[in-house]
Amino acid sequence: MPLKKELCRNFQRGSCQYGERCKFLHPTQQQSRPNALGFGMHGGSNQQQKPNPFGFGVQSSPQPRAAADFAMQHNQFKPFENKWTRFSPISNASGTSSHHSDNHNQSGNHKCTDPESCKRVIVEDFEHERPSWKLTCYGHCKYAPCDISGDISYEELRAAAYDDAKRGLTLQSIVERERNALNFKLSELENLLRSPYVAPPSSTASQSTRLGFGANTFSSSAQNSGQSVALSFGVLHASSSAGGSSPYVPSNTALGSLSSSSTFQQTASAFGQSYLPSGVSQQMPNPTNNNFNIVVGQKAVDDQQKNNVHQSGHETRDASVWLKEKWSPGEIPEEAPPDIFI
Amino acid sequence: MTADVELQGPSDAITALSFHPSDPDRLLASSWDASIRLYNASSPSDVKTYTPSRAPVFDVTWGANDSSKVYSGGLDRSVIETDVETSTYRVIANHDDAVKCVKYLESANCLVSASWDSTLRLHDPRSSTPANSSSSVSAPLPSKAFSMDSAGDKLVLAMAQRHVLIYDHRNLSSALSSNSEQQSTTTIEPYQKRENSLKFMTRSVRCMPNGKGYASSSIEGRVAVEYFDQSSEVQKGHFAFKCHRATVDGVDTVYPVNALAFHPMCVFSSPLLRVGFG
Repeated sequence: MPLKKELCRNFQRGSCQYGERCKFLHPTQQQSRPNALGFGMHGGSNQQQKPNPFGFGVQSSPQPRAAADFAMQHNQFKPFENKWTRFSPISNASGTSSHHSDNHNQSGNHKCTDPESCKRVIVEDFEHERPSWKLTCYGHCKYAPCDISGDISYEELRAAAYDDAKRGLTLQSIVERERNALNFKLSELENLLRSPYVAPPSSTASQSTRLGFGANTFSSSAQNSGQSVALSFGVLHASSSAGGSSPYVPSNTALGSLSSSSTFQQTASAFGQSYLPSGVSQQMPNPTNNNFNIVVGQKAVDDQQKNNVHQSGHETRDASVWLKEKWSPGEIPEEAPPDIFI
Repeated sequence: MTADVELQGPSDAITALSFHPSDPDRLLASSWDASIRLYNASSPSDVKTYTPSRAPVFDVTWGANDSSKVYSGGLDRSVIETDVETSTYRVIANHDDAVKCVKYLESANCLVSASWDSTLRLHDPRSSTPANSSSSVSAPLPSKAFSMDSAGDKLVLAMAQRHVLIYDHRNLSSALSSNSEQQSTTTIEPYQKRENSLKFMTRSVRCMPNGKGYASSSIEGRVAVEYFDQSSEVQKGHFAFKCHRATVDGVDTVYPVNALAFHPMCVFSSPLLRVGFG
């Protein structure tokens, strides 16, 4: 192994443009070379099994696990994956390599046999890659179908505004409609983060990811709202554990540790902010550009049924609003408070 | 090296630009102000404006090389042919929803339009039969069309839900010609169906000038470059890169990549613009 080469920082972040030509060390390409024979064999058998979606079958292959694990992990990068990988070294080290071998056969049947790594992918994506345009679809696997569908392009939004205006809707109601769509989409993303697949992740993991969720992306302002949001988390979890409806009811210890940490409130406030569109607490910027089509509402209903493994995701959004002492003009919810708060 | 030329733009956001396939000076621009403008880069003051309809135009494309026809589609759900010399308009076809992309395929002699109604339609612009008759072939798409481009013998279409379909020109032209002969419903088989390798909504797709592949961009500030050839050798060459990312107040902000263009001489793509309207 060439010792003088440094680890390529871009490659670790998943954004190295040079690929094989890169001057720096990409862990996969360097290590496969000296062990050409050994890896080659694995590579060969991996290739044959490639038609399995994402090479999940490879993990259960009869190869000896001990050294082969490491081998397989890197091999699954190399022959089929372009040098670009989205996944940080953290997820690499998890050993759940099956997720990384993206399926270039385009069969796209991603079976998440490892929800943990999938969830990690989703968390990372939402943390580092949150696009400015929220009304989007999302798929955590590169060539797989979307996890969240119902994307709306800017042109559609604007066209819907035109339609609504023609039908005589006021600007205010158009803006309201669009805000609902945005909130709904955000809660959809939230739901996905918490429960990507039916296989339940550990509750503590889901808690920690939720905490980290909004922290980097949004600057935490309005500290007083942060207080109420933190409260809402506590209240919400209490209610859901009382109801016992959700499989993600956090244990008491998790809840205790959550509310006691000082960072919690800060991230929670950022988190709460993330639900409300950035334009809301100020005035809605340039309302003529914001609009919404009735079609999206229907699709939203379908998606909600699809994505809501448990209800509390949607309630969380409302919960934070209900617990606020004071509402700024844009935040006034339209629906009645849910029963827990009465 | 000639200096940059500034052209007087339309009064609202520009939706599409199209250079003439053989005359590099002539440029078409379509806009939300419902106009199509024809520019001449060598004489910037020479601007002709056309208004095929009162609805915003989403895409515009040059017609056959030697003709003076351009085709456009917009919010009024129709594909309209404009003769830039005589300023006359003719409705070629209709969709059930806004027409998002139009493209004239020189090699296939066919006009392709894709719409938010999730159909791709082929038209023969030379036919003088009225719109909506059986002179158009319609193919269902998995989702709403967002962006379309063609080069070589392939047509790439990017849709909502990250779907991508690739069509072969020869299939399209044979579908169109068989349709006109038989007057029966013909189906168009896509050459390939893919899900985009990017994770968020696709904004734009552009084919490489050498016809070997295409680049697609999404709202997550990323561009993915992929090849048509399905062999694993070539598939290894797929890559993607991040772009249009900025750190605003310490927060890594991700901007959408709204438009792409390949330089006709260079091999690599040069992503252009970013962010919302205008």
